[in-house]
Amino acid sequence: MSTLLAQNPGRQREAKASRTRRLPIQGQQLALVVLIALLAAVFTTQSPEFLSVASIENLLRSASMFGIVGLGLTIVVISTGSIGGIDLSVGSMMALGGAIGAGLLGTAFGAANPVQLPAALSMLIALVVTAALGALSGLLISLLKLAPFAVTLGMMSVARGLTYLVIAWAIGSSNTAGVTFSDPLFDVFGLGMVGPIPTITVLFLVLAALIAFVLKATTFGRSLFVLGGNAENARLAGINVRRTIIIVFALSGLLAGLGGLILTGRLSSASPLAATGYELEVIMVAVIGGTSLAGGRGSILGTVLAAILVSEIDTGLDMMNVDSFYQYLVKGTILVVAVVLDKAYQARSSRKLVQQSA
Amino acid sequence: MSSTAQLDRQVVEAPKRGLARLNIQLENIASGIVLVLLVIVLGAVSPAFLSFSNFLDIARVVAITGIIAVGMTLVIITGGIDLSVGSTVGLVGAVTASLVAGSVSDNALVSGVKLPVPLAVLVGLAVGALIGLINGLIITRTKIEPFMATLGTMIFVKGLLYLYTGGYPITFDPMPHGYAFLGQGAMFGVPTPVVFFAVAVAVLWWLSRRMSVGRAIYAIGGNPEAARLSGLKVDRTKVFVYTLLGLLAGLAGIILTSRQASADTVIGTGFELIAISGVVIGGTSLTGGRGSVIGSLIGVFIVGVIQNALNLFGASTQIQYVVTGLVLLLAISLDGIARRRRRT
Repeated sequence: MSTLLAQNPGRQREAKASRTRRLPIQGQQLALVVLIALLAAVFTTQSPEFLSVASIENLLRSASMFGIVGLGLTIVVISTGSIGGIDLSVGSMMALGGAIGAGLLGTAFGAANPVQLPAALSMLIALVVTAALGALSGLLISLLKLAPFAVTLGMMSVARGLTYLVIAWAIGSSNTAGVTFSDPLFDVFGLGMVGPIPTITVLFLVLAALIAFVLKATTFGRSLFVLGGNAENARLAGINVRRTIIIVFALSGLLAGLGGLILTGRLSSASPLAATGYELEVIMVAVIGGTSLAGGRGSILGTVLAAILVSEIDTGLDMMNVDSFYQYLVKGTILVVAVVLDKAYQARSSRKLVQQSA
Repeated sequence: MSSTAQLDRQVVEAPKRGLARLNIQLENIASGIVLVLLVIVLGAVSPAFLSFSNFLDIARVVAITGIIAVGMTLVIITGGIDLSVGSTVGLVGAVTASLVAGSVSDNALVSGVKLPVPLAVLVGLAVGALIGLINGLIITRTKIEPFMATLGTMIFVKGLLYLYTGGYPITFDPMPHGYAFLGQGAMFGVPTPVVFFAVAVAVLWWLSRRMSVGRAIYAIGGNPEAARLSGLKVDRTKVFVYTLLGLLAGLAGIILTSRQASADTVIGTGFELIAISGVVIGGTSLTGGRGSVIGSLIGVFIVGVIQNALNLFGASTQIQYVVTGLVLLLAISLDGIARRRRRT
């Protein structure tokens, strides 16, 4: 990250001025790497299979899925944090994306299958729908200046309801069973490998690199940080605030839809209850990765590392046969600790600003 | 410097206060008219809707989430939010049910101690209040955004619920008469949950309109800095409203487990959404400082009437999900439009 800054002469001054501000972020990423290694050691001593190829592949697939959705949320929080930006609908959007992708295939076992579309087309439709719903959230938030969490809370139940409807339509009955199917393109998500690395992990890393590049090196990307720091400043600087907010929420919907397709591909089934509560995992990924809920600060590298950490905790606790109730407790605690650390950091940096101006 | 400017603005705005209060009344009237229109239209379409027993049914269903909604109203007026109420409903329901004589569960962790019904209820309410107190303390001490903090406690409390019940339902064999009365009984022909709801509305209305803590709640939501400078105990008031909401969510959980004659890990899931919808539809602004308990009373009835009508028309639960979400989106959009109009 620092080398990227050095190559960009226009930003060197800012980099120097904010060196003290940037160091802790690097520190946080370093802390994440150390934590990942430490936990790996602990889990391995508790259950040696943790370091097996199958377990690591499973971990990478899970991290890629949460990470891809987390990338979208990271962008939402970076760019709209100053107005309380958050997207609580990502879990339902994942379920909806998976339901549409699987439902339109028309190959479900023992179901009505009203239409039969090629897998690529049904996936595309799924992504268009989730992106459109995300854009609708963004439109309501920017046009009417509504609280993002309230809008996306409403969108969360709308998307969940649509998921039920799509699946009921696809299987031709309104019981809550899912759509179970088999499709070569969906199998790529669950089984595909590029060399020793799962295909979706490659997809995740490419997307992360692309988004990191856009955030760092394009006008649009920089404008997201300005907007997240202070919406009024952004407006005065000539940034089209409304359009930007719509774009970031649409992107979050799109990436959540993609995450849902991956989940569906891994399970070879789409359930109306899929991804329930995943919004919390995804928010954890963003927050633990160092994205400030206050907006204007965050890093894609942090999100990537946090996705690995969260999935490592999931996989490790599962392998140690820790009951899901304790997993709830562990995750709730980690989330609160991460937010408290972020608050402490904000308080310190604002004190520093006061000292500098005094 | 900036704080005096804020104070000045507060003074200049003072005459507008009366107007703002009038607006609240107007919003109450607006949501009231919506409710009356809904009842007239639905009554015309389906005669079954207008029966007295159906109205009692609506009131009984609405009472449980309504008790939460009136508490949520005060929290939202202070500019906060509480997403953990659904989990609190579940945990308090399970704890109370397990303490009542006659309750059975397959899980060893569930309390073997049995208490008389009033004591068990008191313990349950204390657990609810404690969760609310913790929410209030986290929010005031660490300055974490309320929705983030309560999202954390929501998972945490849900985890405690799983831990306590082990995932097994708690059932009764048989349920003591005193406990059954809370959710299934009636006083003078009115279902007990409805009586509890009416009392909660009356107390919270009195508290918010006739007591100094009520004025503090509105002042804090309107302008926290001005409220602090005028000597109001901002943090203490916030902790109070979260604790009160925790207590009320606990009460709702107790009534619900009595009514369903069981407690499990699913109970209360999604209640935060229904309660917040009711509050916002009732005209309480999510930005704080504006709203009313009576408005929320009307708001939860609007949600209840819509759900009841969907049931009568045979709509599936799937569609009810979509409708609830859409109604919430519509309500906050109207609130946003109203705010914009006032500003310009």
